[in-house]
Amino acid sequence: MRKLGIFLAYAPEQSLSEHGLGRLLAMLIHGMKQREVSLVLGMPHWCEREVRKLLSDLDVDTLGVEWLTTSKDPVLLRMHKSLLAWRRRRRRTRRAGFVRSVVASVRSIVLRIGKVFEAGLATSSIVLFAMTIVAITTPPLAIVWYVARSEPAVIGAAIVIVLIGGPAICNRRLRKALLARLIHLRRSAARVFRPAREFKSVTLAQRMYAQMRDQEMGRLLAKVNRRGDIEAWLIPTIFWPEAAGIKASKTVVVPDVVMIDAPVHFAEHVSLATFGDLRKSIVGADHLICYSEHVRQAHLVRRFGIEESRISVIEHAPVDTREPFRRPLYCSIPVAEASAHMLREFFEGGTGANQLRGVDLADVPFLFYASQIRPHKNILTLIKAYETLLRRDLVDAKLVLTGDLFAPEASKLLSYVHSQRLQYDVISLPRIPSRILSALFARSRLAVCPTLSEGGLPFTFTEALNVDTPVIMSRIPVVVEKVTDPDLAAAMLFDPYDAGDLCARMRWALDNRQSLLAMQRPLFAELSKRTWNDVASDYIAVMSSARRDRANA
Amino acid sequence: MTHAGAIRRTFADRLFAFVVDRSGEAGLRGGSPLRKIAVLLPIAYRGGSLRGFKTIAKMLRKGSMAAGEPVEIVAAFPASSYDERQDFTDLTEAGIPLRPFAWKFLDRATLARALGFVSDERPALSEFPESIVPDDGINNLLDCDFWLVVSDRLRHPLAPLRPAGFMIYDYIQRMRPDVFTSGFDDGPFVSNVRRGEFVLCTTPFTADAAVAYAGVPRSRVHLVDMEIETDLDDRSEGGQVQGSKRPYMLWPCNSSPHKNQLAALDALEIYFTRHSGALDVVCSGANTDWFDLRAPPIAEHDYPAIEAVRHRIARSPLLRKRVHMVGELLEADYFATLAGARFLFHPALVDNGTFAVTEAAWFEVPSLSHDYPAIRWMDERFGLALAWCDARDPLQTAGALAEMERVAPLRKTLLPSRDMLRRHGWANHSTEFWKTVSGLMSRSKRAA
Repeated sequence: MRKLGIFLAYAPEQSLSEHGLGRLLAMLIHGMKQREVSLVLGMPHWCEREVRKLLSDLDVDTLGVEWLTTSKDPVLLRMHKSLLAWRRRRRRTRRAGFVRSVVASVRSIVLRIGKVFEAGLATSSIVLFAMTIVAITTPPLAIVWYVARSEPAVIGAAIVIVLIGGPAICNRRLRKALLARLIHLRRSAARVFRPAREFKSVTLAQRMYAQMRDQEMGRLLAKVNRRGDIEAWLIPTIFWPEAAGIKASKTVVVPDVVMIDAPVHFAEHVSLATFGDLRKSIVGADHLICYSEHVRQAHLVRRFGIEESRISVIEHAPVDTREPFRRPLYCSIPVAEASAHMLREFFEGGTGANQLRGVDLADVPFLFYASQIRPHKNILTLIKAYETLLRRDLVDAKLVLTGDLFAPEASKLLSYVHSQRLQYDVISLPRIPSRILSALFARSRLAVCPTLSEGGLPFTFTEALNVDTPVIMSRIPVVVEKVTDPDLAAAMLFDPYDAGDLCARMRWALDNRQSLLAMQRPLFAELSKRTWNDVASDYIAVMSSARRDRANA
Repeated sequence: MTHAGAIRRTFADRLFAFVVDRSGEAGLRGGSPLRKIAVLLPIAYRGGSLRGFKTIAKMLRKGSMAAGEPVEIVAAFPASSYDERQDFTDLTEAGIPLRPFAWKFLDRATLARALGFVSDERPALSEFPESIVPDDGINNLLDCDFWLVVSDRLRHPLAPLRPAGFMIYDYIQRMRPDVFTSGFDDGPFVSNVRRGEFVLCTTPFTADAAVAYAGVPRSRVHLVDMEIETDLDDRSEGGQVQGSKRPYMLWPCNSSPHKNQLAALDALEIYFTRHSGALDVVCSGANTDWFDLRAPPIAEHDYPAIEAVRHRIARSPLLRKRVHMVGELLEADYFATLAGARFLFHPALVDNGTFAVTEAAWFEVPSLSHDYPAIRWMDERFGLALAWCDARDPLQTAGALAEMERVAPLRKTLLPSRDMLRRHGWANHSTEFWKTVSGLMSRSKRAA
């Protein structure tokens, strides 16, 4: 049996379920196994657990898959994991109750004593009042007297502290500076307890991580390169330049290089060194796979000067959003009803409660865009168009996003939403499970995809059509490549740079929902013929061909 | 070639190749590589520059379509400064999408990264310690192949992410430094223009100033036709006369000192006193309401020039009574007020000419203007039969006003007919304008 490898190099503690890449990977593994190809997954030890969890969540059978990993995590990473585990245990213990109950008892006693003193001070009896004063002042005075006798130095130190610290505390600016410093120190210390993936802003941590990654990748590559039985390797993203060190034939998947299309947005977050890493991945590959002709021409041939013969376009297959509705409990009722059940059950947990304020999302019309928040996703234009739809055209619908509007990178969007008081109509539902994603697609009146740049036809099209929801999309090259019927294009595409055009298209689509759906079904049927097994076959064929080309060269 | 020039040329070359390769339609499009052009207004102008901005967008749209090379034109302007429905109806009716923006600042490192993503050139960016890019909330107008900036009012270097050209209407500050506040340096304005691919001007005087004052090589300065708008009848529908119930002359003005307000007021006072002038004066234009003594003193009144005008009016009961400061009127009201005037009084020291005199001719209202080169050039171009007076001699001007009051009906007969004016309508020259501008835009790409 032929042996092919997939090389993975996710960062430690990185959650894969939030990434589309993880889903693609799971489907590829599944598809490759169907083709009776023996599969080896090569990765650092630190991401094995997350990859296994992802595959398990997606019901991918990993029996027969060989795991080629480094032997153990770096010491520093293990220490950090232990620290996090200790913290979790400590929190659990706190919650468990013994300490909490002791604290509560002490607090209760102190409160009771306080009430007795309050009663004594409020009395009309002079004797009782004097006794209360004595009772209150005696203990501290006794302590001071005792300390002064046995440890005069302590009293001296206390006086010095009061003399020096007193003015500092009284001085507003000094007090503020002192407090700010203390807060900063506390925050710095708290960083240690964050997941490793959040260390991006700490320079020292970055340097340590770079070192750690270098060493770990060196170990992994040594293991990979010792395996002469693996014909070819697939690297499913361009973010792992280390893969250039694989000696066997390697095929790199290039979803897109979006910073070429939106350079100003990405210049604020992506360094030229990172861009150089992407180039290294691209240039170092024997063969490249992308999902669209646009990326092949605009990103790879023109920007990086890669020969066309070294690039294959392999399109995705549809994502099956109907899968949750085939499960027990739901398979016997219509999708509309099942999705409503799913949503109600899910929102009982409190998700989105601050924005929904009791609104039953299963019972109100909404537009839906499933995407992370990234600059090129064009969400601000979508929100502006929606605002016009809601307030000028008086169309009763909410806008539901799966991007996290409350994340730091979405601050500009959130600020706009608040400034227009849209926070109760533009609903953010990040990190939702895939069944809820399906339910949202199924319940939405219309799916909208306003993106400026994608690697291939956005999944939104098939995800929505699969559950009988029509979709409108931005007129960008990767979409135009697939939507070739002029009538359909006129009906479902809009200029993503023009909020007015988007609003008009939304309105038309809502008014002509069934017609649009009917127009889109033939294309959906055409796209649905392709399965993930087909995709896997194409990948295997390309990898094999790349290996042959390399051998011939 | 400067480094910035090298960036643009390299970028332009890549862009040209990209668009031609991608479209595969170059032959059908007359070889033009342009698909989308942003016409960009850098600050919230009113008056002539705003009108020029809109006319350029419309001419490019119409011209490219007529030439069989339809390009998309995007009109970009400062956000929150305009009533889009009211101010830009003509653009939306012409199929030109609107793109409000705010300027976004990029430090040198960020700019270097942005350039690094799109090209392998590593240009020196010593002139770009801090640059600006239009933030349209989408993709910084980078969907457009070319930025045509209307005026030079950019206080920071424009990021060289797209090739840019400039339409410059005037360099008034060269002759009237007091149009800027004391100590203001227009260095960034002229630096940006010098880095541009080309400069367009509508009069020879501004073209000369672009060479002699802004330092733009003569080879990059191009004269394009000055065109007028010919749909004024439609736009004047429903307008009401504002400012005076008595017979009046119209004084189009704004708050800038090059409009020569003090000399004009001196002349008007003499006209009222020595010549017993019968006409009132309606003064209209952006910020002219600041001259009205009833307007509350606000920070802007601190401008010395405005304060001087207010002071001059305050000294004269006649000026207070008979000069009506109405501010910026709705367009229809302005045209109605213009059409009802006995004549138009246009005092100014220097500028690129004003369309107020062509609009007056359209409504058969004769004009009396101070004499300076650009307005004389306009008079010859459009055959406006302007009457002249001396900008620096209030006595002479007052006499000319009195004379104009008397002979206005006669001068009406000298005005050009509407058919003659229509020949200069922007729509008639849009193909030629497109040919010139697209040639300049494309030439820079091919020259790389």
